[in-house]
Amino acid sequence: MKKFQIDRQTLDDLNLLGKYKSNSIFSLFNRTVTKGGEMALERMFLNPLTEAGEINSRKKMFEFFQKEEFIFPVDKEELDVAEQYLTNGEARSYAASMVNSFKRKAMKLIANDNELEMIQNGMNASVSLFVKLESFFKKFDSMAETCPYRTIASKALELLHDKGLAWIYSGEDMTKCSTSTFARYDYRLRYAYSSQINELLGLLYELDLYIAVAKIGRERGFFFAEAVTQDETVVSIKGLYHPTVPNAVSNDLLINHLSNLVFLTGANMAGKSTLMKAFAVTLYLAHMGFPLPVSSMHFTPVDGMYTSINVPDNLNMGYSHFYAEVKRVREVALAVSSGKRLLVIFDELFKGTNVKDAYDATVAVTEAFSKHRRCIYIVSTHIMEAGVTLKERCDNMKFVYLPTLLQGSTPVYTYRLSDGISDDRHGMMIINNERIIETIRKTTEQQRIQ
Amino acid sequence: MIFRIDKQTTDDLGIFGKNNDRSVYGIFNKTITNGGSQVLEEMFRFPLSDDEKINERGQIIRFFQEKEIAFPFKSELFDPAESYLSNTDNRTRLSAYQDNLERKFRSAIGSDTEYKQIARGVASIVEILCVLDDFLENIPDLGPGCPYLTQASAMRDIIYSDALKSCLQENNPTKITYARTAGFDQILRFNCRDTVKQLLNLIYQLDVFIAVAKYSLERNFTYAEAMPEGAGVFEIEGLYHPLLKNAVSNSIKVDHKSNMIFLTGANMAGKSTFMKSFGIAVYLAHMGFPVPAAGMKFSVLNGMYTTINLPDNINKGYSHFYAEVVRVRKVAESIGNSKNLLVIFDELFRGTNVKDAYDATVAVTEAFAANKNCIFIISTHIIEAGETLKERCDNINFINLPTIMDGNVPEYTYRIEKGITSDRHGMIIVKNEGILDILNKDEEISN
Repeated sequence: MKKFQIDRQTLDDLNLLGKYKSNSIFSLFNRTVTKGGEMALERMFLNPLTEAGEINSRKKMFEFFQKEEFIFPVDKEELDVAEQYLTNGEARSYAASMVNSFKRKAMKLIANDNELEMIQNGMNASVSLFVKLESFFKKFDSMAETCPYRTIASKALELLHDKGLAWIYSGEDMTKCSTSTFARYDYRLRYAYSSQINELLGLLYELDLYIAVAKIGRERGFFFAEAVTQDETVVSIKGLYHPTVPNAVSNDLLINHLSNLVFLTGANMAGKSTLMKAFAVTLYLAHMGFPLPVSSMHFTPVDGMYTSINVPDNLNMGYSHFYAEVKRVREVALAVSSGKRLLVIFDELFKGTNVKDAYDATVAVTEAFSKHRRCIYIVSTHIMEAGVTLKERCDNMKFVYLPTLLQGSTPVYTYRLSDGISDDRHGMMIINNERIIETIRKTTEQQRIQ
Repeated sequence: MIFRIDKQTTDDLGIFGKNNDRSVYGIFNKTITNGGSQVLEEMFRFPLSDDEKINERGQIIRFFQEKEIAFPFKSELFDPAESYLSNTDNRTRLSAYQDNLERKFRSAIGSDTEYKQIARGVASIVEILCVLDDFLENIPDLGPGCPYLTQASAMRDIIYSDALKSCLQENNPTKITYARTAGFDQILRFNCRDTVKQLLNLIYQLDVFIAVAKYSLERNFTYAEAMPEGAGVFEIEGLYHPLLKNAVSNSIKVDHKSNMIFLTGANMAGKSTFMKSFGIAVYLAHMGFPVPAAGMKFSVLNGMYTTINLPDNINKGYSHFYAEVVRVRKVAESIGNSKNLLVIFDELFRGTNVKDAYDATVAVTEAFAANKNCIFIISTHIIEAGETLKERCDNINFINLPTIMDGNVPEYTYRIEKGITSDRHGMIIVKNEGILDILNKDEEISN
């Protein structure tokens, strides 16, 4: 499997990872019951898939769980006790295990030692866990052949139904069985069957993840994307919005090989960055097969993504903002020219320089990038003149903008994409509404009279 | 008359700051006494707007710098003195009648803390008076024409007053008898309390003068010459930023024919630093303090408004642009209230698209330029706005901070040059980094 190409800057721009950041995309989905589930989720976030087949089968799994509304079959405390017990195998042989058991029994009698009690609690919790899991996984037997979780469920059942573990389901009271029987069971659970049981726990963590992610998807009303295999790149999204922005407005966006570059304009607060982030985050999550903040979507998987949304000034290294941007653009250019299929996002390209330079550089760089038709781009700028020039020169660009409306002197933003290049010139309108020039003239006049 | 400033201005210039090495107040705050530090802060909070007062203070500090006079007091004298004076409770007054056997016994076993505190306060003040007397005696050239004479005479009048004179006869202030301590207590804390306070305040001012003079000598600062308001003089030579290491210095002259300075240059070329240096020098000059320059002459202004790092107010729903518009309006309104202001705008209207920024910069700059009393400094990287303004206004001084390319790394001279910058290094950098080559080469192969 090819590794999805993404770098630190992009992850930071999109705020994808970050367990301790409450507004990161990871923490949006991080609602697993178990620690193991959280770690599995982290692995998925770090390794998006790049093959359409794999993406779609993962997607089917989430879709199934989102529809079925399962509840995670075990409670956290019981699982913690069982996990603690099962993953702490002590004796390497049956005989040693037996000796230890008798020793604990003796200690309990002489010194009221609580070790025996802990072991008993652990075993009881494990038995109860296995019983619950068995009845949970059994449900899938009766489901249709097409149920994507069926194979995993039957694998789990196979592990649970091992002959050596049959005693678990006999209903025997563990507190009443003889010390030697107890020692035998203890040995099986903690040593003889430890690899099977670890496998089973792995399946359980995955189940936790599926249920947790599906629950978020259901609560948020998320939908799934279809990955398609074809040579021409296409990403088509309807009803896209940013998952962590409250009351986000949704937009449709289609990027394909015919128009592989979206040229986005709009005022500063009009929502350009949010839209670009929403697009990139959604495409990233789509590569993980996750439920998405869209109403429908299909896409060809890409090999990676690069964004340049908040390029940090590196004053310590003596770089100006402009130079930092140029370095970043160069890095992306190298990746693009390697022939990979990438999503590239440049927000406010070349804002750190004078207008003439920014205009020239934006036109030249945007045009050169867009010729790589396998890659898709979103470029935003507030040098609208660059858009006008590019419109004449290139036929593979789509020009959209986020409009600003004025309500009195307060700008109001619709956050809805419109076709074309923004011609919002509300700056002067605000200045006129606020009567700035008149105030300056008046006060200057006052001075003259004094 | 007060010199008008606001929080935005002091923040922009870094006048006050948490970190002492990073604020202008911090670098001057080398006083020995706490009271001195407070007096210094007071001076920073209220710059002067009267040329005579400015020059007077400047001359005093300069006098101390030239004579290299050191502050004669130990700092630990002042805390006991202050806390002693702040206790105005009549019941704690010492009385000569209490000098009995009980007191002596308590003194012997050490349980007379109250008395000890009072005695310590009295001793501190007596020592301060003695040291001051000695200090005033030894100031060189303290005759007519000496700028410090007025304050020195005021101090002398106090210490030689009938009430306090007796203190000076105490030879060893650490060993004053109970009876005499009680006598001084009556005088210092009750009869002459206000006079003593006044005297301490003069000493704190002395502390500030000496500390500033010492720092100025270290840094080789200059004393600015203040002219009456409206004289239309404004010249600074060798101006630099006091908080920067190896700062480059620049000279600038403003008069009625060039009261608006239009500054262009690349992002890192030092525009903000120049504007801050200018603002700081003007600020310090209006306090009568030495300035980080080689020479400065100025007509007194009534205030200054800077807009260098304007915070967005997203909470109020303001965009950066709107915040700028609000700020411009505030400045425009202030011009109506006071005549001669210094107004600084860094990167005016950066929070909007180019077309708007251009239009707005031209309109606002042109409107301000009609005012010939105030001094304006406006920076922008919309060079095109400068070209238009050049045609329309005749009182704009166009200056720039150039960028020089060393290979593909831009280097900055930080030296002001005449005219509007014509630096177009952006595309050179893009080309040098070979971005277009990387992208286009691959295209040829695939075709």
